[in-house]
Amino acid sequence: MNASMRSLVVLSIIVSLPCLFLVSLSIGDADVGPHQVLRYFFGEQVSSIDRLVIQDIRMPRALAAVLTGAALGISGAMLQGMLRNPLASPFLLGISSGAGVCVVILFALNVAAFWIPVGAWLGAVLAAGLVFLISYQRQHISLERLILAGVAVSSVLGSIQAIFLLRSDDTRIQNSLTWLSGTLAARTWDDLSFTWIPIVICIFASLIFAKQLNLALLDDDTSQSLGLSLVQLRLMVGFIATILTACAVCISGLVGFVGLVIPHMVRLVCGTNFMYVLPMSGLMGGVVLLGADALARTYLWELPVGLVTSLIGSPFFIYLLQRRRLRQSM
Amino acid sequence: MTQLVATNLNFSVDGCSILNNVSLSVSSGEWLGIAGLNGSGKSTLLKLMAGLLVPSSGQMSMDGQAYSSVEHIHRKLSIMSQRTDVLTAMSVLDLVQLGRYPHLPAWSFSLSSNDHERVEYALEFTGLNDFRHRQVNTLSGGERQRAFLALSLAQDGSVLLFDEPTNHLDLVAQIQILSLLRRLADQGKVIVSVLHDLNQLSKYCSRMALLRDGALVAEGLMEQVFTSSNLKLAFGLDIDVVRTHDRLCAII
Repeated sequence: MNASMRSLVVLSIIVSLPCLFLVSLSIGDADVGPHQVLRYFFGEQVSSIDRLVIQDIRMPRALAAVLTGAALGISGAMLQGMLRNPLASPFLLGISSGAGVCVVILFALNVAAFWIPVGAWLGAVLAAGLVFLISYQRQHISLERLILAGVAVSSVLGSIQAIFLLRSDDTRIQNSLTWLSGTLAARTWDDLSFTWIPIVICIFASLIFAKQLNLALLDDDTSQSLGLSLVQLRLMVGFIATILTACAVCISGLVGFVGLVIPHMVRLVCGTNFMYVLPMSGLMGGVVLLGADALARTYLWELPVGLVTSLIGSPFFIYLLQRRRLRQSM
Repeated sequence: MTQLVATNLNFSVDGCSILNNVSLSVSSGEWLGIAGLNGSGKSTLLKLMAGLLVPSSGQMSMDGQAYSSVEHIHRKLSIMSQRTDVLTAMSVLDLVQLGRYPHLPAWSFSLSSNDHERVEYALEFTGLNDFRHRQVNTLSGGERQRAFLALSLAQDGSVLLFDEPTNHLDLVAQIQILSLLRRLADQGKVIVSVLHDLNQLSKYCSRMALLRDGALVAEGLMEQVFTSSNLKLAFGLDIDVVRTHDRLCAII
C-alpha cells in the first residue's frame, strides 16, 4: 500500500468514528432518528423523551462500544507484540475465563446486577495475575511459560464455569450465556463510570511502551542489547493489557475477535511500528465495535454484539491467513 | 580507544558450571574470534561480554569501568545473535532505525537528522540501499544477516559482538559478511565473534580465544594461539597448522 493510499485509509477510519457514532445514536426501537440526533447536538429544541433516548439510553451504549473496542484493540496489539505471537488475543492470559467463571458464579448465586461487572473485573485481573505468577521464575518471564500458564488457567476456570452452568436453572444459564457472548444492550452511564478512567489512562500509558514493543519484535538478545528490559516490558504490558481487557469485559462481557483481528487489520494499513499500530488499533476497535453493535441492533431481534464480531471476524481472519499463505508461496 | 576486559569470569546455572575463570581482553581495531566445541561456553561468554548475562563471579569492564557503572552502555555495545528473524512484516529501513533507539531521549519517538544520517550510513555500508523497503522476512539469509549488521552499525557502538555471523550462509555470503566485519575492525571498532571455521578465523581475526568445557585453553594474538597443540587441546583432534599465502591454515 503506497503512502497516499495509506493516508486515505487512515483518514477514512478517523472520519468513520464520528459518523458511526451518529448512526449508533440514530437507530433503535424508539422513533428517534438522525434528524433529532443532529438537533440535539446542535443545541436545538428536542422533546424530553428524545433527549432521554439519545442522552441516557443510546449514548452510553455507543460510548461503551467505543471504549470496549478501543480497549480490546490496543490490548490485543500490545499482547501480540509482547508475546511475539500474531495469534495472541486479550483473552489468552486467562482473562476471559477468569471473568467468565466469576460472572457465572454470581449469576448462580443470584446476586444484584451491580456486582456482575465488578465480579468480572476482579475475575479477569485475578486470573491474569495468577498466570503471571506461575510464569515468573528466577526474575524472568518466559513467553512459552506465559502462554502455557494462560492455557492451563483458562482450562481449569473453564471447567469450573461449565460445572456452575450445568447446575444453574434455565434463566440463569440464558443470562450467563448472553453475558459470555458479549453484549452492549441496556448499558447505562453507571456501567461506564467505573471503567472509563482506567481505560483512558491505560490507552495513554500504552503509548509509552510503543518503542519497547517495537524492539520486542526482535529476538531477546538483540532487543536487550538495544536497551529493552524484557521482564519490565512483560510485566508492564501484561498489566496494562489486563486492566484494559478487564475494563472491556466489565462493560460488555466477552466480545471475541476484536482484540485478535483489529491489530492485523491495522498492520495492513499502518505497517509494524507500534507508534501507529497502538492508537490506530484503539480507533479501529472503536469503529468496528460501533459498526457491529449497529448491525446487532438492526437484525430482526437484537443479537449480542460478541456474536456479530465473531461472525464477521472469523471470515476476515481466514482471509488474512489465506493472504499470508499466498504471500509465502510467492 | 575502547578496551573490553573480562576478569576471572565464572558463570553457573543451578550449580552447573558453564564458564570457569575466563580472563581476556580486546581493544579497538582488534577482532577477537572465539572458537571451541559445541557446549564449550562460547555463546555464554559472548552474552557475558554483551552484558546480557551477569557473571556468577568475576567482572566485565569497558575502559576500566565495570559494566554496571558504564553510562549508556546500550549505545556503546551491540550484539547480533544467531536468530535473524522478526515477528512481523517489518521493512529493512524500519529494522535498521531500531538501532537508533538507545540514542533517543526517553520521551522522544522520532529520529533526529543525526539518527537518519547514521541509518543511511549503515544501509550504505552494508550495501542495502536498494533493499530498504523490502520486508526483512523476504530477504535471503545473507541479505538478512547484512540487515542485522546494519542494525548494529546504526546503533553506532564501539563494540560489536556476533554469535556465528556466518551460520547457514553460502560461501559468498559468508565472505561478504566477514569482509564487512574486517572493515569495521580496521575502522577502529572492537569486534568479537564466535566462529566455527578455523581458516576463516585465522584469516579475518587478529586475536583468538579457544574454549573447552567452559575453560580457556588459550587466548591472545592469532600467531601465538593458532597452533597445532592449542587446537588439539581445544578440539581433541590432530590439526596441522601451516603457513600459506602469508596466513595460517588449519589442515584436518
